[in-house]
Amino acid sequence: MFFMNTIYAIMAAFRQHWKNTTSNMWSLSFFFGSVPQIAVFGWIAIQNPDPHVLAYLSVGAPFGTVWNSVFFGIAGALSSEIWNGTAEFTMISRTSMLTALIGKAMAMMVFGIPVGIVALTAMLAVAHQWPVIANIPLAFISSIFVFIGLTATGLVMAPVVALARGRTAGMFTTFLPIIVAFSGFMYPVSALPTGLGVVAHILPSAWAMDSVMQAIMGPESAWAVISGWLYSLLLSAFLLAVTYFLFKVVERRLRITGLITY
Amino acid sequence: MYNFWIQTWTYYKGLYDWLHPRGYIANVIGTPVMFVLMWAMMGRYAIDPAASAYYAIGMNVSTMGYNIISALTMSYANDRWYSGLTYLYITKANRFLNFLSRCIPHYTTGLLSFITGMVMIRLITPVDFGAVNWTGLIVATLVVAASVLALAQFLGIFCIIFTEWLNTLAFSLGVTFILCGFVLPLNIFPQWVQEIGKLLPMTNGLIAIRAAFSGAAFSTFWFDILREALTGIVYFVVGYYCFVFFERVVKRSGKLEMEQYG
Repeated sequence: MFFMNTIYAIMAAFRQHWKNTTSNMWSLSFFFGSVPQIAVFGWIAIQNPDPHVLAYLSVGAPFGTVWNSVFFGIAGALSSEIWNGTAEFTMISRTSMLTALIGKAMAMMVFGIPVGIVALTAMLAVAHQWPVIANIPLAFISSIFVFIGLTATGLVMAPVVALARGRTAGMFTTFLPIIVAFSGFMYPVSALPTGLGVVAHILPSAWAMDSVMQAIMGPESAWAVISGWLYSLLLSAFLLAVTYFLFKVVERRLRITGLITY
Repeated sequence: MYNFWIQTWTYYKGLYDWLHPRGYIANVIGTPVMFVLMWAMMGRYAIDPAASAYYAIGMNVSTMGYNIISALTMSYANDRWYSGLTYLYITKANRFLNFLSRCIPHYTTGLLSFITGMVMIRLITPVDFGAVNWTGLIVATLVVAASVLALAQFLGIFCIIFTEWLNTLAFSLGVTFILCGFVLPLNIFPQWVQEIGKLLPMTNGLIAIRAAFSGAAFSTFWFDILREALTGIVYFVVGYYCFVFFERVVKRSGKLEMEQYG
């Protein structure tokens, strides 16, 4: 019963956030801003005769676009609730705020998919080539882990932004490329200098992209792919645990001190 | 003149949302660091170290442009959002000085961003800084920054006409990303597309900046700098006339609501 109620709550939050997002013209900016950039990736990829470059970018680059499109919607979801005065209603409901936010995050991620698909289409149209992927099913499954990792990364930012009470304005333009650069969406993380490569592997999406690379090249071993999924999943779970803890902090402040309002 | 500088500072402080230490540092340091790093790594992975230098230089100019354009377009959008324009329209304030005062402090934002990017280029690309034509580079950079400022002034008008300034920002960034030669060399396009690209600020200046980086003599790229300066002047003049024209339209129609013009 509890499980079904949670699903209903997530679906309701999904619908609400979906309507809210798609009714705004500002969402067009994701297409305007991202598609030309990804089309350029298509040109870059074919400058290298190695077909794996195009294959890697055709998976990674659209994820970068998805991230850029969904981040604001996820990270700002909780602070928007507080700003608009609807967080109080979530407080008096038996549904936890985190459950509602998961529904909203999923709505944003699904919203990002068409942007990613349009970007991929633009890239392949420029490249005039089909990417060569050694193991497509493994690449697809790895992509799901990238997707989960990005959702978890976005979600952890929601309470952080709310706790910062508007003091993060202007900082997102730096945070967005950090995740893209360290997730290895534009190049394998192994291409980064050693120190930065270690930092990158804090992100679940970086591990999942390692598995994507394995799937493209042809896996060295089953463990090489599965370990990427496993670490990605563990880090996503860790981020969700941190998110849960931070939501409790937000909830406590809202209920007791009221210090979180703008 | 005193009133002019008061006006300049007031517009800057009141309408530029990211003018606080965290936001400012994130934009003039964090953003160029991440973009130059990301594209340099991308060039190295996808092509070769020379490509990494090429992309890093291009992205440094692009990030300078992004910082100036986003700051100014946001300021224009905020001026309408906060109803500041209404008060301007009922005064006899000199419109040209008012127009000019909006952009001056953002010049330094662009230059600081460029300097940060230069440090990154020095750290992670094989560019030989001993061979750089510094005089040419400095002159070209100063002119490009001024020219981007003029473009941002021109775009600002669209941000007070249309409800969603982010669409104007994203569209302009998308077009300049493809046609200014940040990543794609202009000579891959047909001649007529190259000419369109050269009508945009940054295109000619970037040619001069790349030439200065390679140590070319000033006499070989002075014309590109001149053309960049002329391009900037044209955008500034057209932007000013659009600014004045919009005021006439508003006064004639009596409509200045946010959703009035789309």
